[in-house]
Amino acid sequence: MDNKPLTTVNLSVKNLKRNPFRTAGLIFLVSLFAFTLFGGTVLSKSLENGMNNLSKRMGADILAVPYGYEADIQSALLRGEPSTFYFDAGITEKVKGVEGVKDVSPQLYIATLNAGCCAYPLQLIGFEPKTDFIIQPWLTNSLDHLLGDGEIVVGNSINAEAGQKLKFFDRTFLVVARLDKTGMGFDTSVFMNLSTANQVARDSERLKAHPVAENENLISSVMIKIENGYDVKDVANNILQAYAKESVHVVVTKNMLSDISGNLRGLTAYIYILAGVLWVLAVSVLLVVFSVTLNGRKREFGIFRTLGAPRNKLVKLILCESSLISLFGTVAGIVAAALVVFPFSTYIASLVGLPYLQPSYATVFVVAAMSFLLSFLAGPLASAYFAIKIGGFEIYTVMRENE
Amino acid sequence: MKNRFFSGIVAAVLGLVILLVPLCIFPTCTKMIETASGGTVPMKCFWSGRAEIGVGLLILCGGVLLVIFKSTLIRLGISMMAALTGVLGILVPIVLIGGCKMDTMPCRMTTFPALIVLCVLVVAFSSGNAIYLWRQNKKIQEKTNG
Amino acid sequence: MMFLEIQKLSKQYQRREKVFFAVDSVDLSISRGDFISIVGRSGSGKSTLLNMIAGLSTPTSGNIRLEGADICSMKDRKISEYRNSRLGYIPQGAAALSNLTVFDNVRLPYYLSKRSGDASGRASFLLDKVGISFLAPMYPSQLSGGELRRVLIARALMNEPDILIADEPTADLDIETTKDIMELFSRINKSGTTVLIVTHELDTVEFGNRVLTMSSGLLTEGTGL
Repeated sequence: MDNKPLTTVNLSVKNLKRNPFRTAGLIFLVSLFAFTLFGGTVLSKSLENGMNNLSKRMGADILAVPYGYEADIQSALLRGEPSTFYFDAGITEKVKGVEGVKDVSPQLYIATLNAGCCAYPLQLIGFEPKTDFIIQPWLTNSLDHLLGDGEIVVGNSINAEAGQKLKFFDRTFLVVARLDKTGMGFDTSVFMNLSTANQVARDSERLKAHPVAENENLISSVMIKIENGYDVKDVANNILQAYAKESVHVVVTKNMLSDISGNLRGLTAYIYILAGVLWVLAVSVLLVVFSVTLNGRKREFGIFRTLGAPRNKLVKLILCESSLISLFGTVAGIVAAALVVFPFSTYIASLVGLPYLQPSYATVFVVAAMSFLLSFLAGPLASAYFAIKIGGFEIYTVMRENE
Repeated sequence: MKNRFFSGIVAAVLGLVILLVPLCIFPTCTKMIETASGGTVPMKCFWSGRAEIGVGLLILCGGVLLVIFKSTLIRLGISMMAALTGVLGILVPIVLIGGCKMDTMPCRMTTFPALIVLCVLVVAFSSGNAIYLWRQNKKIQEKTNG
Repeated sequence: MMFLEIQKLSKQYQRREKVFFAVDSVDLSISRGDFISIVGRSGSGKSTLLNMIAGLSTPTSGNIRLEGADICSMKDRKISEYRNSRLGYIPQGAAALSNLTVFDNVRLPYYLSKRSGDASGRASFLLDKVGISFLAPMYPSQLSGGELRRVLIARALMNEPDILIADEPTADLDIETTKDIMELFSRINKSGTTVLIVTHELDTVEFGNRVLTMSSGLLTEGTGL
């Protein structure tokens, strides 16, 4: 026989166990809210983080690309989608001559189909180590020399450590460094100097004709940094005026970033609205369910009173019951969200198609604590009013009502 | 009695889903590697997926056996083995076989996370069931002894 | 000093702008060890009187003293304490908690205020005493009317009350069970507990040592119907 003392908690547990379906339903409702709140917040924080990181990383003020490929460079940068667009390498020097331009550095994009163990489209990016200001500041380990021929730097998502060798088109390359996690296309890219990139393009000829193999003097884009005191728009216009006829187009990174963050704000707002709606829904459904069931239980509370339970005992009983529901629901929801959001982060990032970088553990912990608090409060909050009201009834009338 | 059906069915369903993940829910990478001799062989992740099909099948059968057998001790043993099979399911993609080198490959992006989450659930559920059964067994023994 | 002293107790109700007295200046003195039956038709005010004695509803005027202490002026905590430890109240109808087993129902009063002792042991003893120890793990919905009544009596005795109050304890029972229950009350009374019963069945009054009649809120000695 169960000899556990009949404390408030034990009484609440017995009550909840005797109504398994109602209890499970209410717990599910709370968990749904906790899931959305925690999962959604981690999602939007990751996007925010990715966005901040992107703007910190984008050392270039202007990107010069061949006319018609403005969208391609965006998807190459954000998602690492292999792209192939080229113009003459001489553009680099020409752009450097434009008024207001401080630094320029060319990049060459080559798409591959065969990488190491796994066959999957991969972006190879050739750059000029001497002038580069985009890639090298973000190496996890410092390089004591300029990137030489046959040496490569890998993005963070590629599982290779410095000193390891990787094979592309039957040629072996030495990994000398790895990039920090960026949450953008750079994570899945492989970087090398321009002459190595040209070599790879020639190697790939074996499978498919490659424009870079025919003409060594091709590049895909020019990263441009402007002089202090110049307006980005003016410099971009200057470049366009001078070289638009040579099919050069410009992307102002600030505009690109503000477009993305605009999208992001929309998404974040949507997540918070959804969480808000669910919270109101959870609290009001709990409110309705509690007041219906508690109304039906007036007689039960009357019996407690006749047996000598003071008013605050009833308040404690009701709050304890709703708190238990809230607690189980909240824990279930947060655990479920954690089992989706963390293991599948890469998948989510690829579905969203925006820079996605998981926040630090401290941030995740704070988010979890806040979600827990908000979700846990739903139950006691929904039952508080009724708990106080039922304590105030005259016992005798309550006892008679349900006869 | 309700617990017997419930625990068995939950384990069986988890096993079935583990079995289906590499088969059709989130298949591993499908490309083949070209060997020097010109032939093609599947990649590591493919073999991880194959191994997980076995793991799923084992857990599915364990669930069915949980329903069939009435003896608490037998069910306790099955539950413990199911939990350990879940651990195996976690180790296969991480340590024992592994997969592709890039986070964004289908196997690393969807197949493995799904399998790991499911196996974590199997481990949690089966060990919970084992603890429950162990306690029940103790209760029965107390009753017969006292 | 009398054990329980009721003086000029009245309860006023308002029904459709008409004021009437459910209990009209009732005086009653009860000594320790009494077995009192109050008879009367339904609506005569006997339940109202009982509820005021149990501290479940407050009188319009008058007072109730238990060994000199006025229970009408007690604060909630104090009156709850009184109900819990000194009073064993058996309400009308199926007043058991449906989510608790018979065993838990019986031992519940023990846990409603701080005390020490063997609650489970006492609950088992009481269930045995009222003859239903085999029902301990059942839920109230599985019980018959007579069995349920015994559960309520065992529960009322849990904290060894000074006085046991029962509101129509045999209302929905057959003749055989009624007799069993009344004999149980009689035994409890003989072991020293004061018993106060309200009923509308005249054949139950033979068990008491004193009979009072309630009619239109007025209380008179004897079966003056």
